[in-house]
Amino acid sequence: MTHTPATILVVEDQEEINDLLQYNLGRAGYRPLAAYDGRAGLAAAREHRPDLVLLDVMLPGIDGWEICRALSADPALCHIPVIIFTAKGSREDFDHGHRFANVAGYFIKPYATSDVLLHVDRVLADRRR
Amino acid sequence: MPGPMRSIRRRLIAGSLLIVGLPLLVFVLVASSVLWRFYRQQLGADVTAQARLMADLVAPALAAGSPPPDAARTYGPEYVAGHWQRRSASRVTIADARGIVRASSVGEGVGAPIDDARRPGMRDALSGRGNATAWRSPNFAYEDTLYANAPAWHEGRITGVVRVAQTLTAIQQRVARLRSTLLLVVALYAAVIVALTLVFARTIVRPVERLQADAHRIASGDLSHRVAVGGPAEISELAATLNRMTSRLELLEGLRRRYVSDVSHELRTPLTAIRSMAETILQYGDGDPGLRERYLPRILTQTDRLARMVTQLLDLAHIESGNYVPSLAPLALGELLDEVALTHAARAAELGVAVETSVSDPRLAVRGDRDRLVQVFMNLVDNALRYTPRGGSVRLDAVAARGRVEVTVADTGRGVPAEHLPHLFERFYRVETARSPQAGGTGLGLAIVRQIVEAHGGHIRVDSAPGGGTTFTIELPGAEPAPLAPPEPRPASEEGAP
Repeated sequence: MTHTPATILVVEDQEEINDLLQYNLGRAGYRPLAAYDGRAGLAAAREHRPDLVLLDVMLPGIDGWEICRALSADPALCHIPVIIFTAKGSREDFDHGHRFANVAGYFIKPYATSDVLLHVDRVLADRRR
Repeated sequence: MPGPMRSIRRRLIAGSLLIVGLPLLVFVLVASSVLWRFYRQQLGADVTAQARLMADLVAPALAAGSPPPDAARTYGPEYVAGHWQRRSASRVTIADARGIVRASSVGEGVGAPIDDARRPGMRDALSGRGNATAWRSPNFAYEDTLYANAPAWHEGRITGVVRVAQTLTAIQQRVARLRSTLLLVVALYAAVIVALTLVFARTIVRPVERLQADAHRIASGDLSHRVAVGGPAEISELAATLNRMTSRLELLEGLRRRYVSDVSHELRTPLTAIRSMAETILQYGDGDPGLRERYLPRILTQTDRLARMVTQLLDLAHIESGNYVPSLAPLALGELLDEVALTHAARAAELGVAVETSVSDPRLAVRGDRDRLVQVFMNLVDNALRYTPRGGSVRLDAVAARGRVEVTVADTGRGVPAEHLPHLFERFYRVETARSPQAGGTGLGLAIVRQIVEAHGGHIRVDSAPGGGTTFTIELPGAEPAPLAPPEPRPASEEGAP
């Protein structure tokens, strides 16, 4: 690999799930960052300017949609693609995701980690082009 | 199937026409019939009087025979009949004592004997039978006619007969004209009634139609819609009731949606963890043996938790469906609490937490469903153990209180912040803010506890102070004290005592 590994921020309050994403992203050659609640996620995004954000909707404190809104409203962060995870899988939730230009994907839990990684690859490849 | 009178509008119109229109119609018919009788009687009396008068006038002339003397000529039959014809609408026929027609106002049959068929009753009058009465002739010419035959008496004998006849056509026409005028008035009035009723019906029907349209919209699924409240008192009350019902439905529907969404979330999250762990082990397990060691036990724990959650969801659904009626039986509380403590003994020892029970009276009993009450205390002790640090204790105390029994489950854990207390019994409510499943709870235990306690007619509350432990207090209906043990046998020496 000639280019530096992409930084991916995982905002997910379930420690186990977050850890597993970190592990899989690391093995796939990315530089993963973890945040376990909304506030920490937003702070990490501002500090590290990740190349992509994996974002859970149900978060304590600030929820995923709030973060999505905050990211898209910040000129420095609005270009960062966001992939959404939701455990609700309701119609309204899905529709909600389409309101944000920075949402680049939508996964209903339980997802296949391999699918998520594949999608991450594709989104990042699109951005580089 | 809607009949013709199903609509309020039609019923009101039919009602008002029936109440006002029908009596008027009957009145018109009765009035014209009365009027008709009155006119006919009047005419009959007229005709009779005329016949009698003429009979008196012509009697001397008829007695004198023909040709009459000068004095009698003035009132001779020809003169009287002719004169009458000019002055009135009546027809006059005069015959002499032999039955020969002497004069006729229409000049018919003069000089010939009386034709009984055309002039009935004339001969009877001549022979003294019958009176000068008016009859209605059924077969005279084509018109209904009233006639009177009056014998002419002169010096104690009948010298002839005078007949006066008059058609009823004129009064028939008069009555018919009157009747049609009245009917026209009634018809106009009926039209006014219908119009007024329609206007009046609008004030009733319009609100009902609006209500119907709004209710239809709600029934089609738009639970945020409300019906317009207005119109007559009964209808606006109905509308208000409908709105209250819809609000309640909307609330319940919101709760149901949230519940489904929560259940979905709570089931999908552990599934995600399990799937991710298995996937990661499969992918990288060979090169990284630490993964198996770390995640396989977690897969088991998460699977157990999921299974417990499914069982509890079904329990809750059963209790909340209303189909659950606790089979109440007196239960000795001491024994029940000991069983709960014993079940948790191994785990408590492992955690280094003491579980103690005490009962104010060893015979203390409650009325309840044994399995469900055990579940209540199991859940509470389980919960307490989860949040009590090593070296702490969980106490179960039962006391009698005014016919009821109060059981407290108190731990020496870190306590619950006050803002969480009101929500503690809600499904999936968790006090921890993040990474909660580590504790292993399903978020359903306390919800089930409350449902069971309330199904027993009991009550549960929670008190807590941060750092000062948490105490759940359950109040249940008491039961007759259970017999503790069989009474001790009396000493043998007393056996024979008197």
